[in-house]
Amino acid sequence: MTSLLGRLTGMRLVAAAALALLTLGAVFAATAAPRKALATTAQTLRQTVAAAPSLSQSITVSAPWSSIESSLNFGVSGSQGNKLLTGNQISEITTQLHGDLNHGPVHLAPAAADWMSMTSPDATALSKLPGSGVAPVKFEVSYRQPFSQDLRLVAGRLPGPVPPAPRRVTPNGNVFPVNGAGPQLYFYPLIDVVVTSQTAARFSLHPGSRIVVSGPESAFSASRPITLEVTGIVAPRDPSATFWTADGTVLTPQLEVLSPTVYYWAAGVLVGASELAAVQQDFASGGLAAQWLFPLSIGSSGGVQAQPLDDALTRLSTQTPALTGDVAPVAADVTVTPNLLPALGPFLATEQAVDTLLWLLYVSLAAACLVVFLLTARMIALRRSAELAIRRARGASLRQIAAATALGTALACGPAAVIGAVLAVLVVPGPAPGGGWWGPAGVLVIAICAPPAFAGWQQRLPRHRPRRRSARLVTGWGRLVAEATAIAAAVAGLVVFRQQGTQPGTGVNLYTSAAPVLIAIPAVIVVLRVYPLLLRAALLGAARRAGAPAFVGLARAARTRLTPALPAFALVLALSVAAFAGMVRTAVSSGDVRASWQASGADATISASVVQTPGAVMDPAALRAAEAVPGVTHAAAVWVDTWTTGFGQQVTGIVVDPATYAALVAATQTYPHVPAGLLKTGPAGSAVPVLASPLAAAELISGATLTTQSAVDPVPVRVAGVLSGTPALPAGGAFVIIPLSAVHSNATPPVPVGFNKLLLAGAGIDTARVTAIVRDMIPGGGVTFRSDILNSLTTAPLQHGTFDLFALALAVAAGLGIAVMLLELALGAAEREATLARLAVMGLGEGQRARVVVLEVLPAVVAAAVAGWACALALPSIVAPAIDLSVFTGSSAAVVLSPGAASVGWPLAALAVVAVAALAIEIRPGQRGRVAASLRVGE
Amino acid sequence: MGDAMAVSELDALSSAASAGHADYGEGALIVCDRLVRIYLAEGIEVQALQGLDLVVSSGELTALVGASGSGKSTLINILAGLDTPTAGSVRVAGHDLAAMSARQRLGYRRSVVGFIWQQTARNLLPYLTAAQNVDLPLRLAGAGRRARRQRTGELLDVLGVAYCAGRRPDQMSGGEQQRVAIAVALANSPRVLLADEPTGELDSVTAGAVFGALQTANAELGVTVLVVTHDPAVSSMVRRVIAIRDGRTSTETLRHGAADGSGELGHAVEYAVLDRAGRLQLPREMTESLGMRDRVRLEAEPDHIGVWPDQARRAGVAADATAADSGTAADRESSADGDA
Repeated sequence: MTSLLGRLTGMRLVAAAALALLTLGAVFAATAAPRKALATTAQTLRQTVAAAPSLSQSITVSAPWSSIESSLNFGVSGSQGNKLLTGNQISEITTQLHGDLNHGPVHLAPAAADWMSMTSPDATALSKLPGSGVAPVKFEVSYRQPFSQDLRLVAGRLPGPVPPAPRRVTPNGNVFPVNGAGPQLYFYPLIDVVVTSQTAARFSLHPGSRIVVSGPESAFSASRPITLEVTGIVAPRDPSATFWTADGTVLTPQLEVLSPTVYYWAAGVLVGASELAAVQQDFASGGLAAQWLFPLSIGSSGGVQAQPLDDALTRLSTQTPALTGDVAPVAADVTVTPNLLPALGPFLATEQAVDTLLWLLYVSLAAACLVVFLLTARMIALRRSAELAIRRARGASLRQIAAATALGTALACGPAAVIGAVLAVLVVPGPAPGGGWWGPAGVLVIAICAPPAFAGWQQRLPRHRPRRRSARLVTGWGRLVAEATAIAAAVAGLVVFRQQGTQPGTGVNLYTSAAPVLIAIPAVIVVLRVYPLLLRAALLGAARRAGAPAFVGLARAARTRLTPALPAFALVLALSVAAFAGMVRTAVSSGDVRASWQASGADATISASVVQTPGAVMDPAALRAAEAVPGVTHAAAVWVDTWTTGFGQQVTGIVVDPATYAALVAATQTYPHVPAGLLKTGPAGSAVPVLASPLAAAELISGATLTTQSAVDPVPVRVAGVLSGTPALPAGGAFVIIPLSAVHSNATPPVPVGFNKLLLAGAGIDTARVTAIVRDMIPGGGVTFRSDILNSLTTAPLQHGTFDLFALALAVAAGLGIAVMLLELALGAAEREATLARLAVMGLGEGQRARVVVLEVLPAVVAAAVAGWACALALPSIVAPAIDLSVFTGSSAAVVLSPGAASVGWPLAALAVVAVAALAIEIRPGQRGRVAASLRVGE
Repeated sequence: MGDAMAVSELDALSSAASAGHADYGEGALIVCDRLVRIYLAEGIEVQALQGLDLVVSSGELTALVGASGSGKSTLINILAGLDTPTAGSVRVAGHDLAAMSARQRLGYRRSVVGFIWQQTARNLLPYLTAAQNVDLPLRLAGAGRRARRQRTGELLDVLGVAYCAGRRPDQMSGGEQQRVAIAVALANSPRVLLADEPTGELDSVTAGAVFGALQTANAELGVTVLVVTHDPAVSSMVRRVIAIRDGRTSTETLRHGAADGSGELGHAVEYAVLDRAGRLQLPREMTESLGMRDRVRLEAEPDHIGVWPDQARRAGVAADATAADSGTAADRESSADGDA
């Protein structure tokens, strides 16, 4: 203790290093875990949002033009006495709305990405347009501001910024300027527009084309024609941008079929700033819709959290925007719609499920870590008790004792905590969650303050504790009441956990997240009751036999109080956490495999047409080539089509060769076997036996006949068996499996039934070869590999990140288990050494000495291991109903959590290895020389 | 007349009782009055002190002796403020140790009493030098740097270990360590110095040096010293030796005269201690030699009180002895006849 570190900390180097290492590890885990969890959920959120349509990644602010017009106090006056919005006013509103929406967790894209639209109701084209067929064409006239940043000119010209001189067009198409008076006012308005290439191609438009549409009626006039003159053809810079996806008909005309006899083309034209006033004047009476669109920027905020974002977006949808100045009255007219909210809902459920799981680990490890720190503090206080007793006798107050101890622990823990925190930040870069520093700070406070607290308690004077009371508490009714209360509280907590955990929207409950701790409490209490009885029985047996080591070792074990339950509790928790983490990983991995089978159906699935073109079939040569690919063990070609019953109900018909299909299904997982014998067809004219899904079976009441639009005869069927699922249709639904022999072509001349899907099974399919065959021999076809689906599941940020956290939890649990073992050995080392020294004087040999140590230490470890094993077995059945592991697989199928042999066995094996290693150090040869030194110290 | 006498007798008794209570130990530095300390060890009550009376005047150098388990260490711990009595009272330098608060007890340990243990490892912090160890109590009491340095130097000098100031305990001999320990105990100028077998681990020469340091502290610094010891050499060098037996003071040995060349004081007289209830402990060797057990007969003489064995019992013992002798003789005769 004469080293500088010893003088500064008052502790031996080993004790200081142990405390420092423990603090470093705990601070690292407490810092890294929340950061990793945040990074995982943020990455998953970004991925979820990115997968959503671009329109979902925006906030829409909309209002009827008429409301805005009536709210504004000024503006350009229109010809009908109404006020017209100017481009500057629109810009001002856009800017203010952007500033109002862009705060807190809501991050908008740069203002340059915002845009505003003013769209007219549908205006029917009065003349027939080429390419429209017999369907009428209805045009939306949509003003956009800014206009040109999302499009590029293909032909003609873009409208300029300055409105043209007011013009009118005569019925015969002559255009003349309006000079403000006279009968010219009664002629028709002319508006310059641009259209997309798709619209121009559909309706054979070109620069200079004119489309006459019917304008809206107004209070002052009946509907009058409005001429739209196409000045330019444009193309989108990014078709996926909200500028185009907000209203798809602007990009590409769509045929709207309301009924077999009511249908029309919906298309759109764009106008720029030059026609802003004209659009308002000519279409206002029909109801213009103003809309501002503000794209979100989720990826820009590294630490984005879903719940605060959801709360903020919800608040935006209910609050009135804060507009100021001249445009302030518009705030009352607008409706804010955060388009991301529907996508956030499912994500929040996923996040809550993951948080519930992670908090189980956090709380359990925190409890175990606290126990280890208390044990360490006790050890430090004991080791320094002689020195502190001197100080106390020399006049040190308890405060001075505590301060001296705290200084030592601070010198050991402070730098270690800083190193641990820095390491965690380096390993997990990115922002920390709000309150993320409380955990590491709490660890540091406990590490520094626990030893002084123990030391102060130990050195309090005078030493006149009434032992009678504590003895009664330990052995009498007091202990029984305390244990019963603890068990009752633990059981109550578990009941609450199960109830709350299965209810949605309950959030993460800290108390109920302590389920492993709550399970460990009764286990440890039972062990503490049973352990002495078993030990006593073993001791009796050892006393009857010859030899001293067993008797002495067991006698010492029986005398040791298991330091009441702390080490056993910590070991049980560490084992439970390790086993639980292993069980979850195993369950999720199994779930991933199951989900991959449910998504793909087979190891490789080849489709004749990716876009599911009706009638597409695969070339038989391609089928043969694919079946011959190395690694393929089973193959089944199927024809999947939509069949209709006589009552108009639709089912998916899967035409298969029963034998090959049954063989393939048997080679897959999760799908029920296909009893091929049930598909044996009878004599001609009889109903064909089919296998149906439960949905289809309910529809195919006796005597149904299936027909399809493909060139095959109708097939009378009867349901011979029910299957819950089948690989040829992974999505499930209403399906029937029809034997190929029952399907006959009615084409002239008849052609063999073609297959549009090929299922391949095999563990080592040459995916490159299969891909090449599809590319070269099946034009328009596609292939899906189950391995790709499985890979996407296992490498998904949510699963990958969560498993990283599990690995961290496992490492912490392992470290805590080792620490408990070593602390227990260290705490009893002095007394054990003195006892062994006395026994050595009496003639105890080296081998006998080792047996004494093993028999003294091992019973407690075995007892803790048994309790830990029992907790690990009980944990899944208790927590499984409250945990939803399917969020990792993305599948609707339940992921079953069960105590597997590997999950429970390896932590026990690891504990055994640690125990053996620790004991090996304790009983290492060469301790004889210490006998004299041990006995000289005395008591 | 009779009633007046009874009242006057009652008044006299009352005055005597209150006067005795007020007078006991008045003016003494250490006063233990019917001190009791009971421990509970694994469910068994241990009466370490059973009504011990002790009075030590200021400036005394007194030895406490007694067999293991007699209560010496318990008494020392109570006087040091490290323990509290179960019953009775104990006052040291005017401090009532049974009624002190924790803060008062802390002040007491800092400034009134100094303590030395037998094991040197319990007296000194191994990672501090001798000077730093002496400085520690001064620092704990809040003394200034200059005062601490001065006091440390003085003490080490007085005790003859100034040359060890910069050494750590493992660099000093056992005797040097104990003398430094004495300096540590004297750092805050206590009124009382308690030493629990300070020479127990030392050889005779070193023990003599350590005891000399205690004598120096007593003589030159005026500290009252109470030494628990098994060492007869130490007992022979103090003027007053108090023997404790079964939790009470049993005898006191007072030595008179000057010390010889070896420091041993001559002419020791052993007294049995008469406690406040009038009880005294008769030396075991005396009682056993006279067969005194259970009860004795007292006879008041003009200048002494005679203590006689119980006559009836003695007669019975004698008769038993006679019967045993005659039986033995008869056996001898019968065996002789048998032989014949």
